[in-house]
Amino acid sequence: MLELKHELKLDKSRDEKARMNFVSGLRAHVLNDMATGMRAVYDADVEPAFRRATGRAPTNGPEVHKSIKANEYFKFYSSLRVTAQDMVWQSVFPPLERNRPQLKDKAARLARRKKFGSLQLKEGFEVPRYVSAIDVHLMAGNYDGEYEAEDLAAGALYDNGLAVFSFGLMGQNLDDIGQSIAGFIRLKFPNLKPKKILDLGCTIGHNTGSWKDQFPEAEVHGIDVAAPCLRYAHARAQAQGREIHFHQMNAEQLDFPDASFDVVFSSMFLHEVPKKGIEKIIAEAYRVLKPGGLMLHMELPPNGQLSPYEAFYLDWDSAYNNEPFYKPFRDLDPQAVCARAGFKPKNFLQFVIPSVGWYGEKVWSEAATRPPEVDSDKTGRLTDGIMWYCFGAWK
Amino acid sequence: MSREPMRRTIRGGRPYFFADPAIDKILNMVVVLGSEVWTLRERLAARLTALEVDALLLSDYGYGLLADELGEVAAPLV
Repeated sequence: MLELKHELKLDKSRDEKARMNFVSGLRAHVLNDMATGMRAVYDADVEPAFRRATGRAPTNGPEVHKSIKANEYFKFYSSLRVTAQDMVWQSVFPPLERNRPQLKDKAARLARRKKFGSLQLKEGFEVPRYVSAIDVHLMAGNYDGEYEAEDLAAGALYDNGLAVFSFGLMGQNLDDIGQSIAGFIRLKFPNLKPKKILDLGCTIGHNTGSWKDQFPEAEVHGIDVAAPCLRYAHARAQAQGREIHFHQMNAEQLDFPDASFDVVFSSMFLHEVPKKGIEKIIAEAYRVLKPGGLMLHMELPPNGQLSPYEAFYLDWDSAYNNEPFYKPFRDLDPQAVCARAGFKPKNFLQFVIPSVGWYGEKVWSEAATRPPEVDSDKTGRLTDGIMWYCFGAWK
Repeated sequence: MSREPMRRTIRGGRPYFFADPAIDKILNMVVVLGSEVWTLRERLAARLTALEVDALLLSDYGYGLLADELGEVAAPLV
């Protein structure tokens, strides 16, 4: 289990740490060993049975899902994966509940320090139903749950839960996505000198900070709808000495003026938004980008680029992990979505970027010198050999 | 707004996979029990390490091998 390195880290007993270690180990077992076993069962039994019944191989993820649902290995894999997912959050609640008063005190102390960035929340802000009405990825209370005035506990739940969830594969500061991608963009496009960068749906700002690290001269902003996450994000950035400006805003309707940013980024965000919202968000990104600016979204790869089995494997979350918009998002054609928002098709781009934490600086930086790579069976999976998928466009 | 406990249950409940949901529930119980066994082993390893019990004393009580095994368990803890 990864220990958070910043001042908002929770005080945990040895038993609480042991429970977290157990959950991290269980997730690694399910997502590596059992996932490999399930694939072997599919190849040996499920797929041949489908062929015998239909005279052909499955052509898409839903067909694979339908054919594997009755399989006992699938049931054990899925039941254990749900249990492990629930245990991620349940392992955080006891120390978090006990630490809540101290957490608020720490955040207040951090706010009194030399100000690095800022925080703007809105009285009476309306959180969209697709956030307020569900507990995404089985996280009770979701990003926006508030249990006292000036609450930031939901942000702490996400930060600490992510540390257990990721079993070390998202970097020591949970920012491997941000560091891998922001750094890759700096290497790939050395002439890009952004003055203003925006991170959409930034939650606790764990990947927002990477843009400030890679482009220290830029003014970096992060927006989200969830006040507890933004309070936590601000305190976290203060603790880490990063100058980031956090705002409570809906990415579908930004308050920023036209042509005000050089880079608009998001990570693991769009798949938590319904399709209508995604279209509006991409259109807003187009509006607030300066001409020549870059929009980039790190996401799960589109189903159109994956084999039927891989499509089924990633869409498991949509069916069983309270991620209702995950599959609809992955069924979209990213290039078509960008074109509908006004981006020229010739300005579309997509990459799979090696994780800098997993592969190391040499492999990661060499990837920036090659033509863009897509279509990798390692893309977006928390398993051996992590590649982060991104798409976007130049305005 | 006074401080309320955080909600720990998921709206809509968890999905089940076996024809009888009792199997999913028992599997869940076994895993949670496994977590507690792991936690106890880590605690025991920590106690044995902290006590710096010498190999002779441990072997008198038949715990020599156990201490070696538990030493590995304790190692990754921060």
